[in-house]
Amino acid sequence: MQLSDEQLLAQYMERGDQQAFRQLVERHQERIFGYLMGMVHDRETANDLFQETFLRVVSALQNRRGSYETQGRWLAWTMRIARNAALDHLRSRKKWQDVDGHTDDDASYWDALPSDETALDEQLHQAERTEWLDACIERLPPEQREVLLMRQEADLTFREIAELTGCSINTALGRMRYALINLRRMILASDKKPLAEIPNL
Amino acid sequence: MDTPRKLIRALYGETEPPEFPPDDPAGREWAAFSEVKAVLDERPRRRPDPTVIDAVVAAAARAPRADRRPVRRARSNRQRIVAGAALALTLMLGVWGLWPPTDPAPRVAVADTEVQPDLALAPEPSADTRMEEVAVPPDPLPPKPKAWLGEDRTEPAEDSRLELARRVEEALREEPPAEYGWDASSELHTLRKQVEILEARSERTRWDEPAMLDALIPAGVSPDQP
Repeated sequence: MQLSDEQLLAQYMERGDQQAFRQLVERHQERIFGYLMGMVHDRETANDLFQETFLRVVSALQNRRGSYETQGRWLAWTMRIARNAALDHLRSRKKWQDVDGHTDDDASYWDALPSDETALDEQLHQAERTEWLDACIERLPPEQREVLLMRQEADLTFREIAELTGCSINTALGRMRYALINLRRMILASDKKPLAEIPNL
Repeated sequence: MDTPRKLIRALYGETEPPEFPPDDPAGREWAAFSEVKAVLDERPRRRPDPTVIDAVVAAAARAPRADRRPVRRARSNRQRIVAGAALALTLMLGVWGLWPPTDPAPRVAVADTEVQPDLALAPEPSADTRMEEVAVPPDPLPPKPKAWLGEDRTEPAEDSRLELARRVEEALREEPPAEYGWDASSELHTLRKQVEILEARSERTRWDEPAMLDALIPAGVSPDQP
């Protein structure tokens, strides 16, 4: 029988069970690390941020466990900490630049995309499939990319994403919809993956 | 929530997948989103380096055990009410113990004739009722409970009101309060005797008796005749 996140956390908190904590970390490592990788696009940096996230988690559990209990779900709570760590990093590197402040209006963003599809194709052909898709995700506007990573990588619900990012659930869904539309356009433009042509999308 | 947003939720299993009639634009959008999601799902899941996991677990193990205290639950409203009532009761008992409701006129024994000269004409009181109690101004200071105000007792600290109230309550339990003035029967007895004396003196000259008519007086009898 698999213990729940809450049970594992209780074992660590009450008995100092390191294995319970390890199990908790390993259970969610892909979700959290996948999100961090999508945010920073660098494995070493993502490793550092992953470690930083859990150091903050341990510290928060020691000092303010009540803040976790009010959050309810372990993963959503930890993802909030991971997001803060990623945003802190991006701010410090001055890389958190919104291409277009109007998140749901992708027209101006697409105007800013590089139009040299040949160069993009050469780059995509040299990269692995995963890296190619990462590159597509990286080109998404930050708000769309973040919602996509939280839903696709971290497996948070749209309601949790809305709470975590401080927007309405409709806004989160709208960002996700545009992220998918934009990804689809990139995939079609790259010829990397055959997709059916669907007009008006 | 509009249809495109419903599609997104359904795409990730948060709602039931919709069914579309043929050539429905929403159906085409659903198919397009499903294709993109399939591409995303093909991406391999990535993990951090194992050394990072080890470092995280080691950091968690180094966390001081003393800080891993259980969560202190917030008090319920009922607990707050009970605690408040207990505090109020303690304070009331404390105030009652410090300044008990005293008789405004404590008693002191004096002779009847000293304060009631009119009663000098009354029959001589018996020896056991000669000395009675009359009112004097109350003592400006409250009585000193010996149990909690010892000779070496200093003034209570300003921040120890509750402690003081608790000690007063204990003192009251140990030493019952003195008998109150209004409980004493001697004063009532004095008043009763005064009323009796006044009634006896006024018995011969009742003002409420109707006057005797002359017609009712027998002939030859003077009204002043006894």
